[in-house]
Formats: sequence, C-alpha cells, structure tokens
Amino acid sequence: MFSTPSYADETKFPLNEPINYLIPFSAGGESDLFARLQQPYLEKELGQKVIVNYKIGADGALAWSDLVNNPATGHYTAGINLPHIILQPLQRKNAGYKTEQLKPVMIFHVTPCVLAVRADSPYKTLDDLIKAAKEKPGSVIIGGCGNGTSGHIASVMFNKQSGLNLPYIPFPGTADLPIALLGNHVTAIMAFTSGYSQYAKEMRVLAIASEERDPNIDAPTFKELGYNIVEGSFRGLAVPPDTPDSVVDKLYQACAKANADPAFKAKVSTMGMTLLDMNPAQSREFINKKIEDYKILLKDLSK
Amino acid sequence: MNSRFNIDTLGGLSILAIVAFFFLQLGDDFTPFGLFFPERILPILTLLGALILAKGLLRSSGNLKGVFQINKTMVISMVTGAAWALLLVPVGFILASFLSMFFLLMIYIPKGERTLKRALTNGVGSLICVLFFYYVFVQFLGVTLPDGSLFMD
Amino acid sequence: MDIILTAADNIFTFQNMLFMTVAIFLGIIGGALPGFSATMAVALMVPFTFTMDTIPGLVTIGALYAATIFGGAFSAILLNTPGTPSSIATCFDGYPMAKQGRGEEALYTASVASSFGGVIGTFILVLFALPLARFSLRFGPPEFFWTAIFGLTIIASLSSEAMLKGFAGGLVGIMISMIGLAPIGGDIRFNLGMVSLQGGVELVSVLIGFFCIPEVFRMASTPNQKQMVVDKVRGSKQALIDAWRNVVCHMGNTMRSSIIGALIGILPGAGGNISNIVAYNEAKRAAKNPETFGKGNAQGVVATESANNATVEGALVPLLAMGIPGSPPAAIIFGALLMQGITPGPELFSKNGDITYAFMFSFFVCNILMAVFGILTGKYIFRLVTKIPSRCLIPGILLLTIVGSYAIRNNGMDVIIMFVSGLVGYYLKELEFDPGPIVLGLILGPIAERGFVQGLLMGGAVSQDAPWIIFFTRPLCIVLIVLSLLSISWPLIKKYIDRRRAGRSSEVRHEQ
Repeated sequence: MFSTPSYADETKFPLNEPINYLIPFSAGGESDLFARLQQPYLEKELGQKVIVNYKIGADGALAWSDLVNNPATGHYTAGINLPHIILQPLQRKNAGYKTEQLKPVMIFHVTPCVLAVRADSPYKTLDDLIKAAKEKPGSVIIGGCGNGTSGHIASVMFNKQSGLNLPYIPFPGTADLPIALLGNHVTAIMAFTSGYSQYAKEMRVLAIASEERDPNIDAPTFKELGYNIVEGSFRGLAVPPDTPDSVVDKLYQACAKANADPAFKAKVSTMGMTLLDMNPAQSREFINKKIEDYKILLKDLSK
Repeated sequence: MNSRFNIDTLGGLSILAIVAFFFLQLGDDFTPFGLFFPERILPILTLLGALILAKGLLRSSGNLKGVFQINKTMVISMVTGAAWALLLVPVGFILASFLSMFFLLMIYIPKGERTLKRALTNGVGSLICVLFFYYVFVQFLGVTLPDGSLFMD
Repeated sequence: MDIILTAADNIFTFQNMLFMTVAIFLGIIGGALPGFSATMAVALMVPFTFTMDTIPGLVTIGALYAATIFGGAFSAILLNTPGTPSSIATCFDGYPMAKQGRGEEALYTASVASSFGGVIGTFILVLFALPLARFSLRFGPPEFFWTAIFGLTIIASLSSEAMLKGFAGGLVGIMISMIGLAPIGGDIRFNLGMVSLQGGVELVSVLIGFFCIPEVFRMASTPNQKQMVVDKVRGSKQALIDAWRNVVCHMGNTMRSSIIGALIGILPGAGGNISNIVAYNEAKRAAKNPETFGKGNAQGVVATESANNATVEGALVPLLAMGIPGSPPAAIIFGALLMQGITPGPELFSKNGDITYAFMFSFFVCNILMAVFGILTGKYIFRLVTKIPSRCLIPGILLLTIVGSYAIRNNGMDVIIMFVSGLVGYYLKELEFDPGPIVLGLILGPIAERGFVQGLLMGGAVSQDAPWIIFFTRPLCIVLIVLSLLSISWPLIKKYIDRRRAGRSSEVRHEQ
C-alpha cells in the first residue's frame, strides 16, 4: 500500500509536513543524544520541523520493522545501528525487516570498542592480561553490552585471534559495564570510547578497536598490538526502501552539513564519538562488507 | 450442584493452561542462555497449578456461583473495548475512539431516555474529547497517535 | 555551612521558583496520566533546559521527575490505575479509601507522605551519597538474583490468605516477562511468531490492564450508579488533619518506608516499581492489624508514597557520585548533565560543588512545594471525578487507558496487550488470583533471570562442574538468602509470636 512511489515526491522534498526521526533506543542514550544535537541543524537545512520520537523494544527491531513499512516520502527516517541491523535478521527467525530494506542515508559516527580494566588491576598491558589468562584459565572474565553487539563481536574476535577462551558475560546496557568492572564482578570490560571520560581515573584502557588512536585516551590500538580488531557501534540514518535517491541525497546533505560544523564537532568529540562522513553509496557498501564479515563470525557468536 | 467445579479447580486448570501455552513454544532454536530460566520456572509452575487443582478437588472452597456475574452492558463494554484496541492502528485514533466512545455513551443511557438531543450532545462531547487528546499528545507530548493506514494515499 | 548557604542562594531565585512551580504542575499532570512515564516527561523537558543556565535547568528537571512520581498517586487513588509503575501499591489501599468516600484524605495523605519521603530521601542523598554509591557496586549478578528472589518472597505475606495462588501468580508474571527478547542470549522467545511481540510485554500496559480494566468492567455492569461518594460529614479540613496524622503520628512507618525507598533506588536497575511494593509489604508486616490492609488502610498509602518519592533521590545517588544512572529518568538527567558540560562522577562534588549541592538541596524545596500543590489541587480533582457520572467516566477512562498504553512506546501492539491483560486480569481476579503478585513477578522476572544466567556464566569461569556455587559463597549473597528465608517463613513466625503473646496475656487458650 505504501510502497508505490509517487513521482511527484522525487522533485518535491520536503513536503509541508514535519520529518519524523525515529530513535530505536531509549531517550538519553547515545542515539538519542546525537539526534538531539542534529535536530536544530537538520531543521535549518531542510526547512521543516524535525520530530524526534522513540520506538523502543527488541534491541531496535521494532523501530526498524516499523520504518520499512512507512511511506517512502523521506519524511519517515530512523536511526540505524550496526551491527544490530545486520545481525538481527541473520539471527532471528523473523526480525520484521531485512537489512537490505533499510536504505542508508548516511553513517555519521562511530564509537570504537575499548578493552578496559580497573585502575588497580595487575594487568598493565594487553599482554599481561593474555599471559594471566593462559596461565590460570578462569581468572579473566570479560563483560560486555548484550549479545550480537559490537562489544560481543570484538570479544569473540579477540578470543579467536589470541587463541583464548575467555568467558563473555553480557550486561543489559552500557551503563551496567562500569558497575560490573568497578564492583569487581568481571576482570575486564569491552566498552566504548563514549562514556569513558568520567571513569578516566578508575579505569585503564588496554586497547582500542579503532584504526587510529583516540586523542583523549592513552592506549594503543588492537592493530598496533597485532590483532586485527576494528569494531565499534556505527550509527547512521535510514529511510524506507523505496525512497527516491534524490530525497535520500537531500537528507544526506543536511546531515553532512551538521557533521562539518565546528561547534557540532566539538560537542560530539567530548562525548567520545568519532564522526564519519559516508554518503549513501558508501554507507551501503560498508554495510554489505560488514554483512560478509559477520556471516563468518555468526557461529562463534551463538556459543 | 456438586462443588467439584469451583474456583480452585478452575484456577488450577487455568495455570496448567498457561504452562502449556509457554511449554509448546519452547523451541529448539533457543540459545542455552535463553532456555535456562524457563526450564527451571515451568516445572515449579506446573506443580503449583496441580496443587491448586488438587486442593479444589479435595476441599471445595469458593463456589463458582457468585463469580463471573456478567450482565449485558458489561459484555457490550468488553466487546467494544476489544474492537477499539484492535481497530486503533488500522482505522486511526480519532475515528476508532470517537465511534467507541459515542457507542458506549449511548449504550449506557437507559432505553427509554435515548433521545436525539442526548445523542447529539454525546456525539459532540466525545468528538471534542478525542480531538483534545489527539491535539495534546501529538503537538505537545511527542506521541504520534496512529492516523489510520486505511485512509492514506 | 558555607555549602548550604551558597546552595540556598543559588536555589531561591525568582526564576528557579517559577520554573519549579511549572515543572511540578506539569509533572503531576503527566504522572497522573497512566502510560505517560517519568522517563518521557523528563525526556520532553530536557530540550527546554538546554537554553537555560545550568542550575535552573537541573532544578527544573529534578522537580519534574519528583512530581511525576507523585502524580501517579492521583490516578491510583481515583481510578485504581497506577499512573506510573511507582504507585502500583497505592491502588491497594488508596482506591478502597476513595470508594469509601475518603478520597480527599487519601490524596492529602499521599501528598504529605510523598513530601516526607522526598525530604528523607534528600537527606540520605546529601549525607551518604558517596559511601552508599560505593556499597551499591558490590551488587553483582548473583546478588541481583537473590534480591529478586527476596522480592518474590514478599508474596508470602502480600497474599497470606491464598499463598498458593499468590506464588502461582508470581511465576505466571515471570513467564509473561520472558515474552520477547531474552536478556541474555538475545533470542526471541514466546512471541507466537509475531514480529510486534519481539519487544516483549510492556509493564505499563499490563499494569493498566490488570488494575484498571477489570474495575471498568465492574463499573460497566451498573453504568448509572455512583461509584464514589464525597464524605460530606467531615469536610476537607478534617481530611487534611487526618492526612497529617496518618503520616506524622506514624513516623515509624514513614521513616521505614522512605529508607527502603531510598536504598532500593540506589541499586541500579531496581527502582520505584519495586520499592513501593516492598515498602507496602513491610508496612503490612509491621502493622498490628495487617488484615485491614487492602481495605482502605491509610498506612498503605503512606508507605508506598513515601517510598516512591524517596526512590527518586536514591536513584540520583549512583548518578551523582559515580556517574552511573540508577533509573531510566536518571539516565536522561545524565544526558542533560553531559550536554551542560558537566560529567557526573566523584569529582562532581569538588569540581562542580556549587551546582551539585544546589541541585541536591533543590529537592528539599520541590518536595515541599509538591505537597502544597497536591493538597490545593487534590480537593478539586477528587470532587471533579466524583461529579462525572459513571456512564461518562467509563468511556473516558477507556480513552485514557488506550492513549496511555499506546503512548508508552508508540506501539499499537501495547494497546492490544493492555486490553488482553485486562480480560485475563478480570478472569484471574474472579478466581482469587490477585494482580499484585503477578505484577511483582513481571517486574522481578527479568532481574532474576539476568542475575541467574550471568551468575552461572561467572561461576562457570571459576569452576566448570559446579557453576552454581557462586550463588552461595559470596557474603552479600548469604545475607540475602537469610533475609529471603526469614521473609518467606514470616507468616509462620508471625503465627508463633501471636500464639505466644495470646498465651501469655490470657488464661484461656484458643485452639488455632
């Protein structure tokens, strides 16, 4: 019913109605904070009110299954998170959407994974940790945020590449990780660069799963240490599958303008997010590449 | 009437029915983590259901007479409410709510007093009420109440 | 002393008072709307505070948060529907009071109790934030499992008349909580293959369904009868005096409930939805006349309302002291702090001391303002609800329940779930299954499951053969196990004590 694209829309966007920006996670989370920062920029660029609303549940699947059935006018958009949008359709019988149905507008930022221990922990480097785990199995436990998330994937990749079998304990949200670590319930956490700043004194980051070092964090990358782990939560914006390319491009331009603004940049970097600028084609390509990567890991993930 | 059929037997059977509802959905595609807890809880629940059933069979307490005193207006309200909930998304908030409210208001008026004038005031009243809620929630509270997909395009 | 003066100086400005008043007003309305949660209210307000200075912004958000939790009492008392999950147990005694014509007394009692609870909670926040936050870190997965079990054991005294059915109901609640995404493992369970059930069953929808819908059906059987009466004999003044007495002359109950509320609020992941039920239960347990609870005992309202407002401040303890948000609204406040350029954590007290203390002290002011508001508006709201004829009230309440259950997640499925739980709730209630234990199971189920599976994973790392041993070796676990055992055998202990007492005080022994 919705999927018939009307050709009038191709040239005319935005129509005289507000643009919906659906957030699949709870208010106050990183997706929400970022959208709130974008909101004034998008409103200025597109000349229409942008309404941020929420549809929370099933780790985002409810919002995304909703989005793909919405009218393809460009007035219905939703935040997307990788790896969620790739792994859910792969792992679940019926997630309600397919990864291909989410038409990416832009992937605009990433929060890389970090492996951190307590500041008073005996493990000063990644090698210390690995050595201890090999000598005394069971002495190192990793906590992360959820199953089928970037933290989980990074832990699985780390286990695979180091030949270890460290137990991975999933926690419901990123906020639970510092509790688990500082309360001595796990030895290390696979957390994110964001939400690290307030614990800078109480935690030590052993390695970052990004291509380059983070200027705010004094730690090497996994790559420098010989592990090919580049993983993090990538966030972007998507529209229903039949949205015309011209509309997608207008949305992309607006998001890219926000990303390029110095004041915007400054705010985002204090929150531990790394800005990216992937246009619709690049985003699609990036997602396709990740699909192939994750298919290989899938078996290890459900262990 | 023999009181074998009392609130305890019915309660015990209901619990066992609930157990069956969940047990039949236990799939082999569950991860071990997801299977762990339900596998511990369901046997205990089965036991409790059986105990309640046994209690009802051995010692009859509350007779079923006296419970489920359902009358006509109540059933009509239940059906209307169910229709309201089910039609909310396909028909849209405004239409579904207006029709249900108006219908209920008219049903509750005693038979002899259903005049055209009262119908009109009730209709206007429920329409205003529904529009007010729609306006407040959509405009101020950021809740996108369903517009109804039947009437779009 | 200096700190207090600076804080007072920062709080008592015209701007702050104005914003606080507006926030309290909006918060009470928002809280009273079933389905409109404290989280949503705070999330809506946050963008407005970006343009404000830091202190007025935070003070506004804080006042809104506290007022929303308080506002939930209005619908609990007047409509038997918890406006937020924090006032579930307020229904148990508040609604019977209203039906007896003591609605004003119930509303005033809730106002005064909320205010006291909030003030006591604020004291705890100001005095013990740092040590308590440190202590709360010791709650790991095994401890959370036992905490949930302890929470479930209160069913024993909550439904002492029909314990078997109470526990069955609790377990049914746990099973319902498993519908949708599994907390560990991430599989989709029991969703009947429906995409829209992936997100599970929303607590608020079920609350509305269980508590409100059966009551609506009952009203609908006689749509032209008055449901509530105004007690004309005693008048508002007497009601206010009674309310004050209910809280102040039973200071033990108020203090106990507030402390329970604050402590549960400190635990990340446990909030007002649990604390109000626990406080209610403890009040019932400690009372000399537990059989009057559930039939309109004002002490039930005192317990829940003081507990849930103390939880507000409790939830801020880990947020301000450690940077860990203890509840969803606290998570949004966390975001708001970040956007104001303040990073919560231990340094907050030294680096941004003036802001932090002003924020904390503002809760004293807003909790007192809140009671004033509650008392001023309570009278008129109660009169208004009693004036609306039932035949108009029924469709009106149904409209509220439908909007509320939709609004919580913008999800049409939640409305259907709400109505289905209404029908199921009505059916089970007629068979003497109380909604209380079922709801408790629904809240505690995910906490128990998560703790259980995580604990086993942790234990598995230490000993492959006996991973469950971890649940019995940690010191805090043992404390919690003992508490649970005491709690579950309380009805027996109570019987024993009563018999001893009866035996001592009278010569004639009654056969029990």
